[in-house]
Amino acid sequence: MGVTFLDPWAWLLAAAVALPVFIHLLARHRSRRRVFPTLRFVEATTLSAVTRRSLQDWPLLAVRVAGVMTTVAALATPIFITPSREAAWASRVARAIVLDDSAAPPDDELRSAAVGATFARSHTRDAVSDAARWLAEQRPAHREIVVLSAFKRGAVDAADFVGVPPDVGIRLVRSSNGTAVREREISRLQLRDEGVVRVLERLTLGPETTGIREVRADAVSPLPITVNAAPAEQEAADAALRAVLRRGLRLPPAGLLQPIVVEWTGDVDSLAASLEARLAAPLDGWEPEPMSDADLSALSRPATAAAGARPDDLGDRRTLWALVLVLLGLETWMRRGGAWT
Amino acid sequence: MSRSHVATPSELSSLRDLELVAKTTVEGLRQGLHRSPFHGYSAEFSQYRHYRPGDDLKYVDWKAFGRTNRLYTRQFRETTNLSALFVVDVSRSMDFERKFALEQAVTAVLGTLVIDQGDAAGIVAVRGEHGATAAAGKTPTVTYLPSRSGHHHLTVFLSEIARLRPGGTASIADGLARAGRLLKRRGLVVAVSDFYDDAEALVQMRRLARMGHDVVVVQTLAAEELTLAAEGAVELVDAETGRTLVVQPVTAGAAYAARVRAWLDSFASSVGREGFDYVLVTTAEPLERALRRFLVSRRGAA
Repeated sequence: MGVTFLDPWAWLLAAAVALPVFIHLLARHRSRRRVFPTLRFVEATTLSAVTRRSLQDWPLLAVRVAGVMTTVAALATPIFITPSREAAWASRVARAIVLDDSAAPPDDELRSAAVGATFARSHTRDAVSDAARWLAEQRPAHREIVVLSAFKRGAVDAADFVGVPPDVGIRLVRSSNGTAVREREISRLQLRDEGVVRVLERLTLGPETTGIREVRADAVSPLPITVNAAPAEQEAADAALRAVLRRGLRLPPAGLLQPIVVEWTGDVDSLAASLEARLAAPLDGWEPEPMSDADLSALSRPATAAAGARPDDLGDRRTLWALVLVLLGLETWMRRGGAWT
Repeated sequence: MSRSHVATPSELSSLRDLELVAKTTVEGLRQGLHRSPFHGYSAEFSQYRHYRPGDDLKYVDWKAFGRTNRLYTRQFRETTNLSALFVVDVSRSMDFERKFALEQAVTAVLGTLVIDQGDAAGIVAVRGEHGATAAAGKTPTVTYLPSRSGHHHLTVFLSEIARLRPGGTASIADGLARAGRLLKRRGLVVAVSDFYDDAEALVQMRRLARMGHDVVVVQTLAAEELTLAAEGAVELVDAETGRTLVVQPVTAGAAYAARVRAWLDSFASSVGREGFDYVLVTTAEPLERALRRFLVSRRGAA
């Protein structure tokens, strides 16, 4: 069990503990004059003022010092740290949820936090800054920023979290970019039994699954791809082209507009690579690759107990004030020589 | 307890049933309860002695002559009244807390008892410098009320006590010396003082005893001077010499109290050895109780 203080500056007043000693030392310079019938029985050895530099009543001084120190401790607003209180503080979390798209924050993220708020800005970095400012105003034991995003490559980086205090945890939760199901159409050229067809497929991108459905297959004739080869190799080149088409050759979304001619390089793979290079084109509407889990882990960190976190005043000072009253009573009792009357 | 007057009614009423009986014989002028040192032919039978020619025949005990065939003359002890002189210490050392008020009360109570029982009481108090004489140019102020009896004198006696004020350094020894010069007949001398000049006082009291006086020592002290009860350092000023000493009662108190106790015991022993009656009265104890204890023991001794 420990103790912490909400107003530790009050300990500056602990210098007042010297007051009882000062009072004692000052008193020797202000001795009261008293006319006495005779001094014949007063011992000469006790008359030196030096003797009063020593403290004659240690218990009384101890009680007075304890009274001063207890008063100062009460002014410093103490909080006794008990195991049960520590457990309660550890369970308290202030959570700022940063949304970088239209996704709604999971209910359980907000529900499990003692205090929570969501922040959505056009730039993740601005939202993270807002979240950090909001957390700085909270009084929890643990504070964390949860970034909810699909985390497309380049969506967040370490620079976005530079302004976040080190005790604030960062947790990156991958979302499915919202709940909307997006569809894309792709086409490919494929050699089937009936001949070369242009297959149109519909790609459905859901939060959890991806579906591909063939919409239609149109016969392509004549074949718009020609492989130039030496006459002796033409047959092998044509066979290689058929092999490539049998595997399927992805086409640009707009389809193959003009016939293309490629040179025969001697093997099927190089022919396939050559054709894909010729047909390659930006896939309009395709998402960038997501950040890897390793990237996200590198940016994440756990929340630690905030150094500047101020627990709420739990009224423990009342205990010390009661102790001060007890000490005052004891001091009065001792000054009166152990009697109340 | 504050004393607004010399003796409180309770102090007087509680002691009226007691008689202040002189332990030793005193001489007086009137018949009374007290034995006279002179053997005469008064009311109280004393002893027989053989008849001598010239004795008054009316004092011959004829019944004894019939039984023994010898002539005896009856002798009587003359009884007389008591003449008490209260020697009151009015030195500055008495001006401490309620000590002087206590001294006035003691004197008033005992004086009232003496006068009420038909005896005579007077006061002598010397105020001034210790050992001062007219020859030295320092004439002390002497308050002297001759011993008389009667209710009118009681009023004068009490008012005289009330007028006394402490001051000066003249000690009880000065008062006792003055009493020795003033007293013409043997009587009761009641010395009321703190007796801090005990050595000189004992000399004077011995002198009075040798003169045939019955000496009673009433030592009055304040409870505050029995101990050094005070908080913090105190600069004590000797009431009579003006000497100052700074003391810490917390440390010096125990030794002081022991010394005072030892001195009181020693003084009581010295007084007892001289055959004087002694009573210690302090402000810590009810006056009635101390005086009753004293008077009862004195009557028993008589």
